[in-house]
Amino acid sequence: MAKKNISKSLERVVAETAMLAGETMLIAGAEISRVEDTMNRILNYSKCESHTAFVLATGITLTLDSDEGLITMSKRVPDRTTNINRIYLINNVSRALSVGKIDIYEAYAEIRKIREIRQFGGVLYGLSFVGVALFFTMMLGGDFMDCMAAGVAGLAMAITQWILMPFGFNSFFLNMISTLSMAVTAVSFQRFVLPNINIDLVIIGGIMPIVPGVVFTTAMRDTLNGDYTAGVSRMLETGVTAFAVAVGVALAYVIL
Amino acid sequence: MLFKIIGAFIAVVAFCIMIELPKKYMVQAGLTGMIGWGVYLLVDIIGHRVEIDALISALCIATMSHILARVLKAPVSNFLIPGILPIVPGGSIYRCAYAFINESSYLSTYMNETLKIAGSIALAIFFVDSVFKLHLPKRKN
Repeated sequence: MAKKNISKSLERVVAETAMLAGETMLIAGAEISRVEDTMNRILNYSKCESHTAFVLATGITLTLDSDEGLITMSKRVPDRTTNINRIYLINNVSRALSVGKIDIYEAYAEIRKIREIRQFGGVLYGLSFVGVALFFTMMLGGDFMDCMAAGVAGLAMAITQWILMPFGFNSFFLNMISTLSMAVTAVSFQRFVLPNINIDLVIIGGIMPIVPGVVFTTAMRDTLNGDYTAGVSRMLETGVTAFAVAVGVALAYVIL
Repeated sequence: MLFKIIGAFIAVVAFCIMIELPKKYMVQAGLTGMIGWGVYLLVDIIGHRVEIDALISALCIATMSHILARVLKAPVSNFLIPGILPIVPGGSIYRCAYAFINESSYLSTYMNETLKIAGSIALAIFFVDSVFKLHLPKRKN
Protein backbone atom coordinates (compact mmCIF):
# COMPACT_ATOMS: atom_id res chain seq x y z
CA MET A 1 0.00 0.00 0.00
CA ALA A 2 1.25 3.46 -0.88
CA LYS A 3 2.02 5.76 1.98
CA LYS A 4 -0.50 8.53 2.29
CA ASN A 5 0.85 11.88 1.34
CA ILE A 6 -0.79 14.35 3.68
CA SER A 7 0.10 17.38 1.62
CA LYS A 8 -1.83 16.15 -1.40
CA SER A 9 -5.59 16.44 -1.47
CA LEU A 10 -7.71 13.45 -2.36
CA GLU A 11 -8.69 15.03 -5.67
CA ARG A 12 -5.07 15.49 -6.60
CA VAL A 13 -4.30 11.84 -5.88
CA VAL A 14 -7.32 10.74 -7.89
CA ALA A 15 -6.23 12.84 -10.84
CA GLU A 16 -2.69 11.48 -10.67
CA THR A 17 -3.93 7.90 -10.46
CA ALA A 18 -6.19 8.41 -13.46
CA MET A 19 -3.35 9.94 -15.44
CA LEU A 20 -1.00 7.11 -14.56
CA ALA A 21 -3.58 4.51 -15.51
CA GLY A 22 -4.37 6.26 -18.78
CA GLU A 23 -0.75 6.64 -19.73
CA THR A 24 0.04 3.00 -19.01
CA MET A 25 -2.94 1.80 -21.03
CA LEU A 26 -2.18 4.06 -23.96
CA ILE A 27 1.43 2.89 -24.09
CA ALA A 28 0.17 -0.70 -23.94
CA GLY A 29 -1.93 -0.01 -27.05
CA ALA A 30 -5.49 0.10 -25.71
CA GLU A 31 -8.39 1.51 -27.69
CA ILE A 32 -9.10 5.15 -26.92
CA SER A 33 -12.60 4.56 -25.62
CA ARG A 34 -11.31 1.97 -23.17
CA VAL A 35 -8.67 4.36 -21.86
CA GLU A 36 -11.26 7.12 -21.43
CA ASP A 37 -13.72 4.74 -19.72
CA THR A 38 -11.10 3.60 -17.26
CA MET A 39 -9.91 7.11 -16.50
CA ASN A 40 -13.46 8.35 -15.98
CA ARG A 41 -14.16 5.44 -13.69
CA ILE A 42 -11.17 6.40 -11.57
CA LEU A 43 -12.06 10.10 -11.67
CA ASN A 44 -15.56 9.21 -10.46
CA TYR A 45 -13.99 8.11 -7.19
CA SER A 46 -13.39 11.77 -6.28
CA LYS A 47 -17.16 12.40 -6.21
CA CYS A 48 -16.60 15.66 -8.05
CA GLU A 49 -19.47 16.78 -10.21
CA SER A 50 -17.62 17.35 -13.39
CA HIS A 51 -14.60 15.64 -14.80
CA THR A 52 -13.32 14.88 -18.26
CA ALA A 53 -10.63 12.64 -19.64
CA PHE A 54 -9.68 13.49 -23.18
CA VAL A 55 -7.38 11.02 -24.87
CA LEU A 56 -5.70 11.27 -28.24
CA ALA A 57 -3.46 8.68 -29.80
CA THR A 58 -0.39 10.68 -28.75
CA GLY A 59 -1.42 12.41 -25.54
CA ILE A 60 -3.80 12.64 -22.60
CA THR A 61 -5.56 15.59 -20.97
CA LEU A 62 -7.75 15.40 -17.90
CA THR A 63 -9.70 17.99 -15.96
CA LEU A 64 -11.23 17.54 -12.53
CA ASP A 65 -13.48 20.23 -11.08
CA SER A 66 -12.67 19.93 -7.38
CA ASP A 67 -13.57 22.13 -4.40
CA GLU A 68 -10.14 23.71 -4.44
CA GLY A 69 -10.41 24.71 -8.06
CA LEU A 70 -9.79 23.00 -11.33
CA ILE A 71 -7.11 20.36 -11.59
CA THR A 72 -5.84 19.96 -15.13
CA MET A 73 -3.07 17.70 -16.28
CA SER A 74 -1.77 16.86 -19.68
CA LYS A 75 0.82 14.40 -20.79
CA ARG A 76 2.43 13.52 -24.06
CA VAL A 77 2.68 9.80 -24.74
CA PRO A 78 5.16 9.07 -27.51
CA ASP A 79 5.81 5.39 -26.75
CA ARG A 80 3.94 2.65 -28.50
CA THR A 81 4.02 -1.05 -27.66
CA THR A 82 1.52 -3.85 -27.30
CA ASN A 83 0.92 -5.36 -23.91
CA ILE A 84 -2.60 -6.66 -23.49
CA ASN A 85 -1.94 -8.02 -20.02
CA ARG A 86 -1.40 -4.51 -18.62
CA ILE A 87 -4.59 -3.21 -20.22
CA TYR A 88 -6.49 -6.09 -18.74
CA LEU A 89 -5.04 -5.66 -15.23
CA ILE A 90 -5.57 -1.89 -15.07
CA ASN A 91 -9.12 -2.36 -16.27
CA ASN A 92 -9.66 -4.74 -13.36
CA VAL A 93 -8.11 -2.30 -10.87
CA SER A 94 -10.42 0.48 -12.02
CA ARG A 95 -13.44 -1.79 -11.63
CA ALA A 96 -12.36 -2.87 -8.16
CA LEU A 97 -11.95 0.80 -7.27
CA SER A 98 -15.39 1.77 -8.50
CA VAL A 99 -17.15 -0.95 -6.48
CA GLY A 100 -15.15 0.01 -3.38
CA LYS A 101 -13.00 -3.10 -3.01
CA ILE A 102 -9.80 -1.02 -2.80
CA ASP A 103 -9.14 2.65 -2.03
CA ILE A 104 -7.39 5.14 -4.25
CA TYR A 105 -3.98 4.78 -2.57
CA GLU A 106 -4.02 1.03 -3.09
CA ALA A 107 -5.10 1.56 -6.68
CA TYR A 108 -2.20 3.95 -7.27
CA ALA A 109 0.28 1.43 -5.85
CA GLU A 110 -1.27 -1.37 -7.93
CA ILE A 111 -0.96 0.61 -11.14
CA ARG A 112 2.65 1.48 -10.35
CA LYS A 113 3.29 -2.23 -10.00
CA ILE A 114 1.42 -3.12 -13.21
CA ARG A 115 3.58 -0.71 -15.19
CA GLU A 116 6.55 -2.99 -14.61
CA ILE A 117 4.85 -6.36 -15.13
CA ARG A 118 6.14 -8.61 -17.87
CA GLN A 119 4.69 -12.09 -18.09
CA PHE A 120 7.40 -13.55 -20.26
CA GLY A 121 11.16 -13.16 -20.25
CA GLY A 122 13.30 -11.99 -23.13
CA VAL A 123 14.22 -15.48 -24.31
CA LEU A 124 10.60 -16.54 -24.62
CA TYR A 125 9.84 -13.29 -26.42
CA GLY A 126 12.59 -14.07 -28.92
CA LEU A 127 11.36 -17.63 -29.32
CA SER A 128 7.87 -16.35 -30.05
CA PHE A 129 9.25 -14.78 -33.26
CA VAL A 130 10.52 -18.20 -34.26
CA GLY A 131 7.20 -19.78 -33.31
CA VAL A 132 5.09 -17.29 -35.25
CA ALA A 133 7.26 -17.59 -38.37
CA LEU A 134 7.50 -21.38 -38.22
CA PHE A 135 3.86 -22.17 -37.56
CA PHE A 136 2.60 -19.48 -39.87
CA THR A 137 4.40 -21.17 -42.71
CA MET A 138 2.87 -24.45 -41.59
CA MET A 139 -0.54 -22.77 -41.49
CA LEU A 140 -0.15 -21.57 -45.07
CA GLY A 141 0.67 -25.08 -46.21
CA GLY A 142 4.47 -25.21 -46.14
CA ASP A 143 6.16 -28.57 -45.78
CA PHE A 144 8.69 -29.51 -43.10
CA MET A 145 11.69 -27.87 -44.77
CA ASP A 146 9.79 -24.62 -45.41
CA CYS A 147 8.84 -24.47 -41.75
CA MET A 148 12.42 -25.02 -40.60
CA ALA A 149 13.71 -22.32 -42.94
CA ALA A 150 11.02 -19.94 -41.69
CA GLY A 151 12.02 -20.71 -38.10
CA VAL A 152 15.62 -19.82 -38.85
CA ALA A 153 14.50 -16.66 -40.63
CA GLY A 154 12.34 -15.75 -37.62
CA LEU A 155 15.35 -16.29 -35.39
CA ALA A 156 17.36 -13.90 -37.56
CA MET A 157 14.62 -11.33 -37.12
CA ALA A 158 14.52 -11.78 -33.35
CA ILE A 159 18.31 -11.46 -33.08
CA THR A 160 18.33 -8.32 -35.22
CA GLN A 161 15.67 -6.73 -33.04
CA TRP A 162 17.57 -7.71 -29.92
CA ILE A 163 20.78 -6.17 -31.23
CA LEU A 164 19.22 -2.98 -32.55
CA MET A 165 16.75 -2.29 -29.75
CA PRO A 166 19.21 -0.62 -27.31
CA PHE A 167 20.31 1.92 -29.93
CA GLY A 168 16.95 3.64 -29.96
CA PHE A 169 16.14 3.27 -33.63
CA ASN A 170 12.69 4.48 -34.59
CA SER A 171 10.12 1.82 -35.32
CA PHE A 172 10.17 2.27 -39.11
CA PHE A 173 13.89 1.68 -39.32
CA LEU A 174 13.80 -1.14 -36.80
CA ASN A 175 11.04 -2.94 -38.69
CA MET A 176 12.73 -2.40 -42.02
CA ILE A 177 16.12 -3.70 -40.91
CA SER A 178 14.72 -6.73 -39.14
CA THR A 179 12.57 -7.61 -42.15
CA LEU A 180 15.63 -7.16 -44.33
CA SER A 181 17.74 -9.52 -42.24
CA MET A 182 14.91 -12.04 -42.15
CA ALA A 183 14.47 -11.94 -45.92
CA VAL A 184 18.21 -12.10 -46.58
CA THR A 185 18.41 -15.20 -44.38
CA ALA A 186 15.46 -16.81 -46.15
CA VAL A 187 16.69 -16.03 -49.66
CA SER A 188 20.25 -17.17 -48.98
CA PHE A 189 18.84 -20.34 -47.46
CA GLN A 190 17.14 -21.01 -50.76
CA ARG A 191 20.20 -20.08 -52.84
CA PHE A 192 22.82 -22.00 -50.91
CA VAL A 193 21.29 -24.64 -48.64
CA LEU A 194 17.86 -25.86 -49.64
CA PRO A 195 16.99 -24.95 -53.23
CA ASN A 196 13.63 -26.72 -53.05
CA ILE A 197 11.96 -24.62 -50.38
CA ASN A 198 8.98 -22.48 -51.27
CA ILE A 199 10.53 -19.07 -50.74
CA ASP A 200 7.20 -17.20 -50.87
CA LEU A 201 5.75 -19.12 -47.96
CA VAL A 202 8.95 -18.79 -45.95
CA ILE A 203 9.06 -15.02 -46.32
CA ILE A 204 5.34 -14.56 -45.71
CA GLY A 205 5.66 -16.56 -42.51
CA GLY A 206 8.77 -14.63 -41.59
CA ILE A 207 7.23 -11.17 -41.92
CA MET A 208 4.19 -12.14 -39.86
CA PRO A 209 5.64 -11.07 -36.48
CA ILE A 210 5.89 -7.50 -37.80
CA VAL A 211 2.88 -7.20 -40.10
CA PRO A 212 0.63 -4.63 -38.40
CA GLY A 213 -2.41 -6.73 -37.55
CA VAL A 214 -2.74 -5.49 -33.99
CA VAL A 215 -2.67 -1.78 -34.79
CA PHE A 216 -5.01 -2.32 -37.71
CA THR A 217 -7.64 -3.97 -35.53
CA THR A 218 -7.35 -1.24 -32.91
CA ALA A 219 -7.53 1.46 -35.57
CA MET A 220 -10.76 0.00 -36.90
CA ARG A 221 -12.36 -0.16 -33.48
CA ASP A 222 -11.26 3.40 -32.67
CA THR A 223 -12.76 4.67 -35.88
CA LEU A 224 -16.01 2.92 -35.16
CA ASN A 225 -16.16 4.43 -31.67
CA GLY A 226 -15.94 7.90 -33.16
CA ASP A 227 -12.31 8.49 -32.16
CA TYR A 228 -11.40 9.54 -35.66
CA THR A 229 -8.11 11.21 -34.81
CA ALA A 230 -6.84 8.06 -33.14
CA GLY A 231 -8.28 5.95 -35.93
CA VAL A 232 -6.50 7.96 -38.59
CA SER A 233 -3.20 8.11 -36.76
CA ARG A 234 -3.26 4.37 -36.12
CA MET A 235 -4.25 3.69 -39.72
CA LEU A 236 -1.22 5.71 -40.75
CA GLU A 237 0.90 3.68 -38.35
CA THR A 238 -0.41 0.53 -40.05
CA GLY A 239 0.49 1.92 -43.46
CA VAL A 240 3.97 2.97 -42.37
CA THR A 241 4.68 -0.44 -40.84
CA ALA A 242 3.42 -2.27 -43.91
CA PHE A 243 5.59 -0.01 -46.03
CA ALA A 244 8.61 -0.79 -43.85
CA VAL A 245 7.98 -4.52 -44.31
CA ALA A 246 7.62 -4.11 -48.07
CA VAL A 247 10.83 -2.08 -48.32
CA GLY A 248 12.70 -4.62 -46.20
CA VAL A 249 11.68 -7.53 -48.42
CA ALA A 250 12.33 -5.56 -51.59
CA LEU A 251 15.82 -4.55 -50.42
CA ALA A 252 16.67 -8.17 -49.74
CA TYR A 253 15.84 -9.07 -53.34
CA VAL A 254 17.84 -6.11 -54.61
CA ILE A 255 20.90 -7.10 -52.58
CA LEU A 256 20.85 -10.79 -53.46
CA MET B 1 -5.77 -29.17 -43.97
CA LEU B 2 -5.45 -30.55 -40.45
CA PHE B 3 -1.83 -29.45 -40.30
CA LYS B 4 -2.77 -25.99 -41.50
CA ILE B 5 -5.33 -25.60 -38.74
CA ILE B 6 -3.00 -26.91 -36.05
CA GLY B 7 -0.35 -24.55 -37.38
CA ALA B 8 -2.81 -21.67 -37.01
CA PHE B 9 -3.44 -22.55 -33.37
CA ILE B 10 0.23 -22.65 -32.42
CA ALA B 11 1.05 -19.56 -34.48
CA VAL B 12 -1.64 -17.58 -32.68
CA VAL B 13 -0.48 -18.80 -29.28
CA ALA B 14 3.10 -17.83 -30.14
CA PHE B 15 1.81 -14.44 -31.21
CA CYS B 16 0.03 -14.12 -27.86
CA ILE B 17 3.41 -14.37 -26.15
CA MET B 18 4.61 -11.50 -28.31
CA ILE B 19 1.71 -9.22 -27.38
CA GLU B 20 1.69 -10.34 -23.71
CA LEU B 21 -1.80 -11.71 -23.62
CA PRO B 22 -2.83 -12.75 -20.08
CA LYS B 23 -1.79 -16.38 -19.71
CA LYS B 24 -5.21 -17.69 -18.79
CA TYR B 25 -6.77 -16.53 -22.06
CA MET B 26 -4.17 -17.93 -24.42
CA VAL B 27 -5.94 -21.17 -25.26
CA GLN B 28 -9.21 -19.42 -25.98
CA ALA B 29 -7.44 -16.86 -28.18
CA GLY B 30 -5.67 -19.68 -30.00
CA LEU B 31 -8.97 -21.45 -30.58
CA THR B 32 -10.50 -18.25 -31.95
CA GLY B 33 -7.68 -17.92 -34.45
CA MET B 34 -7.82 -21.60 -35.32
CA ILE B 35 -11.56 -21.64 -36.00
CA GLY B 36 -11.24 -18.41 -37.98
CA TRP B 37 -8.58 -19.97 -40.18
CA GLY B 38 -10.64 -23.15 -40.56
CA VAL B 39 -13.57 -21.06 -41.80
CA TYR B 40 -11.25 -19.22 -44.17
CA LEU B 41 -10.02 -22.46 -45.71
CA LEU B 42 -13.54 -23.88 -46.00
CA VAL B 43 -14.90 -20.77 -47.70
CA ASP B 44 -11.88 -20.79 -49.98
CA ILE B 45 -12.81 -24.28 -51.20
CA ILE B 46 -16.26 -23.06 -52.25
CA GLY B 47 -15.15 -20.00 -54.18
CA HIS B 48 -11.68 -18.59 -54.75
CA ARG B 49 -12.18 -15.01 -53.69
CA VAL B 50 -9.85 -13.83 -50.96
CA GLU B 51 -11.98 -10.89 -49.92
CA ILE B 52 -15.05 -13.09 -49.36
CA ASP B 53 -12.90 -15.61 -47.45
CA ALA B 54 -11.53 -12.85 -45.25
CA LEU B 55 -14.93 -11.26 -44.72
CA ILE B 56 -16.73 -14.41 -43.60
CA SER B 57 -13.86 -15.62 -41.48
CA ALA B 58 -13.46 -12.20 -39.84
CA LEU B 59 -17.19 -12.16 -39.10
CA CYS B 60 -16.84 -15.51 -37.31
CA ILE B 61 -13.76 -14.38 -35.40
CA ALA B 62 -15.33 -11.11 -34.29
CA THR B 63 -18.57 -12.81 -33.20
CA MET B 64 -16.65 -15.43 -31.30
CA SER B 65 -14.49 -12.79 -29.60
CA HIS B 66 -17.53 -10.87 -28.44
CA ILE B 67 -19.19 -13.99 -27.06
CA LEU B 68 -16.00 -15.15 -25.32
CA ALA B 69 -15.45 -11.68 -23.88
CA ARG B 70 -18.91 -11.67 -22.36
CA VAL B 71 -18.66 -15.20 -21.01
CA LEU B 72 -15.17 -14.78 -19.54
CA LYS B 73 -15.60 -11.12 -18.56
CA ALA B 74 -12.53 -9.90 -20.42
CA PRO B 75 -12.03 -7.12 -22.97
CA VAL B 76 -13.04 -8.05 -26.51
CA SER B 77 -9.62 -7.16 -27.90
CA ASN B 78 -8.09 -10.01 -25.85
CA PHE B 79 -9.53 -12.43 -28.38
CA LEU B 80 -10.09 -10.24 -31.41
CA ILE B 81 -6.50 -9.10 -31.89
CA PRO B 82 -4.85 -12.55 -31.86
CA GLY B 83 -7.82 -14.11 -33.65
CA ILE B 84 -7.58 -11.75 -36.61
CA LEU B 85 -3.87 -12.45 -37.06
CA PRO B 86 -4.11 -15.45 -39.44
CA ILE B 87 -6.15 -13.49 -42.00
CA VAL B 88 -4.11 -10.27 -41.90
CA PRO B 89 -2.92 -9.72 -45.49
CA GLY B 90 0.79 -10.34 -44.87
CA GLY B 91 1.08 -12.45 -47.99
CA SER B 92 -0.37 -9.73 -50.19
CA ILE B 93 2.01 -7.14 -48.76
CA TYR B 94 4.91 -9.43 -49.58
CA ARG B 95 3.66 -10.05 -53.12
CA CYS B 96 3.28 -6.29 -53.62
CA ALA B 97 6.90 -5.74 -52.67
CA TYR B 98 8.00 -8.63 -54.87
CA ALA B 99 6.02 -7.43 -57.87
CA PHE B 100 7.30 -3.90 -57.35
CA ILE B 101 10.92 -5.03 -57.43
CA ASN B 102 10.45 -7.25 -60.46
CA GLU B 103 8.50 -4.56 -62.30
CA SER B 104 5.73 -7.07 -62.69
CA SER B 105 2.39 -5.98 -64.03
CA TYR B 106 0.73 -7.80 -61.14
CA LEU B 107 1.62 -4.99 -58.75
CA SER B 108 -1.77 -3.32 -58.97
CA THR B 109 -3.52 -6.69 -58.63
CA TYR B 110 -1.74 -7.41 -55.37
CA MET B 111 -2.18 -3.84 -54.13
CA ASN B 112 -5.86 -4.27 -54.81
CA GLU B 113 -5.91 -7.58 -53.01
CA THR B 114 -4.24 -6.11 -49.92
CA LEU B 115 -6.74 -3.26 -49.75
CA LYS B 116 -9.68 -5.59 -50.35
CA ILE B 117 -8.68 -7.97 -47.57
CA ALA B 118 -8.02 -5.09 -45.18
CA GLY B 119 -11.36 -3.58 -46.11
CA SER B 120 -13.16 -6.89 -45.56
CA ILE B 121 -11.66 -7.28 -42.11
CA ALA B 122 -12.58 -3.71 -41.24
CA LEU B 123 -16.12 -4.23 -42.47
CA ALA B 124 -16.50 -7.41 -40.41
CA ILE B 125 -15.21 -5.74 -37.25
CA PHE B 126 -17.47 -2.73 -37.84
CA PHE B 127 -20.49 -4.92 -38.39
CA VAL B 128 -20.07 -7.23 -35.41
CA ASP B 129 -19.08 -4.42 -33.03
CA SER B 130 -22.19 -2.50 -34.05
CA VAL B 131 -24.48 -5.49 -33.65
CA PHE B 132 -23.19 -6.21 -30.17
CA LYS B 133 -23.70 -2.59 -29.14
CA LEU B 134 -27.40 -2.75 -29.96
CA HIS B 135 -29.84 -2.67 -27.09
CA LEU B 136 -33.59 -2.51 -26.76
CA PRO B 137 -34.82 1.06 -27.06
CA LYS B 138 -35.80 2.64 -23.76
CA ARG B 139 -39.26 4.05 -24.12
CA LYS B 140 -40.57 6.83 -21.94
CA ASN B 141 -43.98 6.21 -20.50
